[in-house]
Amino acid sequence: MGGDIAKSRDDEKFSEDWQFKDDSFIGGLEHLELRYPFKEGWLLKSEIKTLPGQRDHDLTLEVSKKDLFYARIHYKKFQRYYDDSGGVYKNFATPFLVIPEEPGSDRENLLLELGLTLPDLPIFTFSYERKLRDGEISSLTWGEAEEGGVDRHIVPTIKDVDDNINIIKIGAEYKHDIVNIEVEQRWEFTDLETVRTEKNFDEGLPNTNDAKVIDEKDTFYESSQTTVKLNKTINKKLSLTGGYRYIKIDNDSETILRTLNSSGAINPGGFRKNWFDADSDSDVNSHLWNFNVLAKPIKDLTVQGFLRLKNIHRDSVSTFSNDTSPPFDNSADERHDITARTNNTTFGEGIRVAYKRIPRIAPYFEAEWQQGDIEIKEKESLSGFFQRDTDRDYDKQTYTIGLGFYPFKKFSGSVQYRKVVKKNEYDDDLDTESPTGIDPGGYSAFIDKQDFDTDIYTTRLTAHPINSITTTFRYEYRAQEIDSKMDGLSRELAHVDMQTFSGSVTITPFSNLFITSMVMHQNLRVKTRARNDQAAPTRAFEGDSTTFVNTAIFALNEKTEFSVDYQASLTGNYDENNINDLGLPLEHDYTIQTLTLGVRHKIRKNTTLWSKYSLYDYDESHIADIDDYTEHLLAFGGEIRFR
Amino acid sequence: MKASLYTVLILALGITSCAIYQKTSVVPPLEIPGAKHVKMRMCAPCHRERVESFESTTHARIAVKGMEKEGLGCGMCHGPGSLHMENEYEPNLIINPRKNPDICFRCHLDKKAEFRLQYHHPVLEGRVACADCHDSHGSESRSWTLTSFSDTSQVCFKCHPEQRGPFVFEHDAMREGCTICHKVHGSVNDKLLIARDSNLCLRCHFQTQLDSSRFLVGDSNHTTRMPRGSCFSAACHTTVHGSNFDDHLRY
Repeated sequence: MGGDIAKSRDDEKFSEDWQFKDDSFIGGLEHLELRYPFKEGWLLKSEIKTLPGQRDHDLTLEVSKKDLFYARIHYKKFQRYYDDSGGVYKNFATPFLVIPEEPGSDRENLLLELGLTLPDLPIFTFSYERKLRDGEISSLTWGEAEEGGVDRHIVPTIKDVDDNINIIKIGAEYKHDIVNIEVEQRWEFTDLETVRTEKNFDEGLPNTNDAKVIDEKDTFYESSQTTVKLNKTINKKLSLTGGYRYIKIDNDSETILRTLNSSGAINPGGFRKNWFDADSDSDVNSHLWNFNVLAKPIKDLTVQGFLRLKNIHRDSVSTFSNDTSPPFDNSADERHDITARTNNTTFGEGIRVAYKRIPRIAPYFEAEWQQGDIEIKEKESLSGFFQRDTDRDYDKQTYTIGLGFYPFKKFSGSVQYRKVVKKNEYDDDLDTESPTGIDPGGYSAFIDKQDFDTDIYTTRLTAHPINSITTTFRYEYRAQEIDSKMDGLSRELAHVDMQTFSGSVTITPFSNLFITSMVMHQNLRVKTRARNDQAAPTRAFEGDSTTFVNTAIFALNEKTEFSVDYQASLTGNYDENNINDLGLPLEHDYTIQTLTLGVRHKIRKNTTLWSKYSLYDYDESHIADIDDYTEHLLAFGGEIRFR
Repeated sequence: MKASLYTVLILALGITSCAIYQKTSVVPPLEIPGAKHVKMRMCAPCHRERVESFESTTHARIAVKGMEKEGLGCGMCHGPGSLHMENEYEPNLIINPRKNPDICFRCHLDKKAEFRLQYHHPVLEGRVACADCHDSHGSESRSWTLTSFSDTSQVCFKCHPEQRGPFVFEHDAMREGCTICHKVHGSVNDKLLIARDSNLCLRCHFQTQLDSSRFLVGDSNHTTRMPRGSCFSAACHTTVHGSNFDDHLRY
């Protein structure tokens, strides 16, 4: 594959939208697949993708010998790109960016897996997995930016990340007449480092000497997980499965928090934070039991039953010193010692019934119930700080009813309705934090009761009115109501509504012409009572998005094929979510379009050459259009098949 | 710009339509020339466990009895399998949804479009597969439900360990699952959020206001903070998933 790009305007935005860099060579091997039974019982499988200029690689190699072993290596590496505006951010007319260069992170995964598959013996597996992430993620943060007398208190920034995850797994699976047994032991060793910077632009423009807050976190996560699963088929009508999982976690973290003035010195006092020796340690022990039954009491009736019990116990401590005055040598003006403990027990039950005796119709019903109790105890030793004991109970019910149908050969579909109700109750036995005396006062559980009520309706219809036409229509309506009540105050309701219409038409009017077209329209609205409050200048957050995907393929003759692909995604009304220039500069409307013209030509029976031209266009409602781009890609490639 | 793109599209379709007299065939995406759907039991000799457990899977709900040859069995997701049975080593004779999500999009049209929104998981880019999050062969494709071994949001933490914790101070919203705040396939909003302003948080944290001159959350006056961005992006409650040091999730 080879290519070239001409570009205009925002390169970073282009890379974020399409996840490849437009100023690097994008040639390489797009896909190589090999399946080679090189000897009786032996099989070699390989898949390779490598685009060096994009640092995009995906390699799989597997060797297996029937009834003996398999060995697999999988390596994957790619870049994740971000725009330099901190996400959608309605900037000033002049780009006002903190981010110095194109932000992005390297992702790298390596998996080594070995399995012994000897007949009549347990199957043993061993795997080692390593996941890395290193780079910068774009974000928004507190900061002051000013232009033409307009002052804003939120600016783009980046967060440095450096993740290192190592996972080792060993497992055994033994199939026996009495019972099938699966055992797995998993260890994880993870080190996560992040550095986040809040900058304060006193002079209105970014400067390396600006006052800033630096927040560095380093987390060490170690876990051991043991899983045992049993499976027993009693007869053709009844099978049982059960299992137990034990997880032990040790999570330690260190944090450095510094507030620096423009000369780089520590800036103390007031709300400014300067933490020394900030460490935390959380230990978790988790036990999970589950038991499932699959029964077929009569022909074409399937009944499944589920039971689940889980207990999680967590003990945490954290300490830090907040230095508020010189000499900033950890002489501890404020020494904080915190203890926190949770004991979380949940019990779940479920039943699913499917019946397929009725011709051309497949009805099903599911119900799940969950009861939980969480005891939370938190204490800050420093005088004047908090001590809390909270008992949280919850009850969750999920009901699903649906139908798959195939009334006649040209028509099929499915309908489903799901209702989820969750009721939370918070009983605050102790809460010492209410320094101002304002009702309801205090943290954390100023929520007394909170109910989530969710309804989801889904419909899909597929029709083949004639052999050359296929149409599919899908509709989903999701409505959620959140009913919250604070101690001593009235109930307050919030709503989330989302409607999604999507449809597609595929036409093959002639054997050498294929046309498919798809459209989706989605409306989303999040409404809280804050919009009625004069002191909270917010409004319902809402917007529409519409997406088109259209493709046509035409075979000129047995050797030559042309294709056209046009895709567009456009939004509406999101721009209205910005109250004014002073506040919430977080949304705008946009249109993304791509047009691709392609040609494929078979020069031999096993060899095809192709070429394509793509046009990428992005246009947003931003006042200065600083994120807009128009890009062109011209690419050439080839495909060879060996037998 | 938009008009010119439409013109090019119509022109291209026009050119192709003018040349349709040729007796050649296009192989439409997701079709395997010459292959036919087979009964599920034909797949059993090599994929016994998959076939035996099919009835307990999510997709079995919509599989109508007797319609396997119409593609309502394994073929729903893997395409017609007759040629694959004849030559198991030929790679292009069966559809693998892990490598080609388009087979999932035949029914889940809306998800394909959501992956085209400005912020999305990179499924169409080939870096994440539907099967990385959904266990289509499991008893529940949403493997994070109460009846599975995995906890709520566990599937998300495979790639987002920073949000996993455990934290000294937990955010109760995490117990509701990531989807309470995130639109996980694709969103118009950065970070795949459902909403990008304080409405997101005020769904749970709005309280009856007794004094019209100020806006309280708990006992803290947030009047001047509300217009300055979402509660976490404006560098106030930055550790919105959980904190090890600050009970108000600020650091």
